[in-house]
Amino acid sequence: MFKKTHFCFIICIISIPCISTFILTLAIMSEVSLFNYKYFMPIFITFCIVYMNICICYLYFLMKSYFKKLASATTQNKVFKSELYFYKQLNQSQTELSAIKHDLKNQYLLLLGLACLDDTANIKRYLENALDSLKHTDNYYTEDYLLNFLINDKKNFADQHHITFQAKVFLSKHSRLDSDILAILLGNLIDNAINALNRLPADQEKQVNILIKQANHNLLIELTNRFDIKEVTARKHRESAGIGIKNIKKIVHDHNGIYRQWVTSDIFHTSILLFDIYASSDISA
Amino acid sequence: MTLKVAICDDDNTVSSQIEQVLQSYSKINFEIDVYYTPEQLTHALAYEAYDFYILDIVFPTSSGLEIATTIRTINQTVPIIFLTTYSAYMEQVFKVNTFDYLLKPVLASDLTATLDRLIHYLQLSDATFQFQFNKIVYRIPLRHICYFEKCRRTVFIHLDNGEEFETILTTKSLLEKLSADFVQIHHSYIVNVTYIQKLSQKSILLTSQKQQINLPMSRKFNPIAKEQILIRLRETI
Repeated sequence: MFKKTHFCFIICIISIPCISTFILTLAIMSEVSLFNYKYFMPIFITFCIVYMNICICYLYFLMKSYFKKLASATTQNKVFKSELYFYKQLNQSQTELSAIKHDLKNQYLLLLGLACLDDTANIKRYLENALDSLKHTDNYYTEDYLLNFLINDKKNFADQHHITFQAKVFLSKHSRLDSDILAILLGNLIDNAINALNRLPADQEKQVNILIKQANHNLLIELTNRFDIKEVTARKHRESAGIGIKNIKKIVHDHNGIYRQWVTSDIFHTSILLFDIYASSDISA
Repeated sequence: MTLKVAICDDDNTVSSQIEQVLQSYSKINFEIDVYYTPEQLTHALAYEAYDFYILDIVFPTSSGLEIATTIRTINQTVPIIFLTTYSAYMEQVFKVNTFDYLLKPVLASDLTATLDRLIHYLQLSDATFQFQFNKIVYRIPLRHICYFEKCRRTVFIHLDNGEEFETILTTKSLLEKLSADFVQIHHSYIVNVTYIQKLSQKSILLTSQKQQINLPMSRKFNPIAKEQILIRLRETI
């Protein structure tokens, strides 16, 4: 299939300059009266021009198909990268878990030893320290472990950049939308917001608010963040040029949802509404 | 207008705090009943009906989800707001079609925002659509109108209960009489966004008590209609 397309492509590419040169030569030769075919020449030239136009149309459709494949491959690549990142993090978590299990065994042995010595003061202090360290665990947002992991990961990333990250999530794990699709949607949205906040001067307040809410059978995703108001003109082309926004819009469009972004003073708002994502049977499943 | 609300929480401090916020809410008055155990509320449901419920999830002997299930057997659509913490947030809340959830300790600003959306959701507006047909003047609450169908100068008014009326109006004067809940999606159709169940590239599926209808959305109205739908629906979610 590929070889046939490739062959047609080469024929088209080569034939257009060859035929146009040939017609030009014939026209010049007929002018100098080397040939004198009264009806043959116009018919022949017409045929050649029609043939060239067909070739151009074919090339146009071929290019369109290639661009479509390229866009799809880029999106797919993004998905694979996200998945790869997720599995790497999962692997890291598993390694940490193994280490914790190992430490836990030693901790129990230590506590047993202290208990045998009736050293309650040390046992108490030890347990208090252990409880303190447990306070720094991940937040719970949803029962969908992938999304929970993603939101926590983005929150940690925001914390590292001194950005206040506020998320209100009310989301069932039973959805008609694949978790990875939702992850790409949210991942891109949050990344864009964090990047915009990172470009703000250091002295300005940096906060991102996220609302992910299921209502009836619909899903609303809202995100607000501050941004540098100069970017309205300085980075105007990026409003639609970024691959992140393109991916988001494509996903929303493919799922018959509505995407809207707007600006109020120095706040950037993004709203996405996806309809009929949750059927009653999905929720009660 | 007064809304009847039932609060069920075993923590007196929380219920008092919610009561205070409800009483200070300026847009509407509330008639508040507080129950301290799920059993009290379940018993009261036999003879009392409420416009919405604010329920705690965790109780010593029972669960707010059990009360919600009982409420849903009586009324499928009445809004239920849960009081919870992230650790108590459960998948089961989705089974009872929860309107919203509030994190403890409940902040006045959060509860006020939820009440604002609740009022939109309940469509408490008394706005009516007045028209004349066969020398009789009709006045129908806008919230009961599912969609308008325009056929030349005639306007067919389709209600949520399946009833149909007609009148003579231009599109411009019809739109002037309507609230922001109504969006023109086609030269011939103006729909109430609260009845939208599903959207596709070229059509909108409306669902009401008695009917389900797929209406075409024209290319001309598509972008602005979608924007208006989003703006309107996000106020109730």
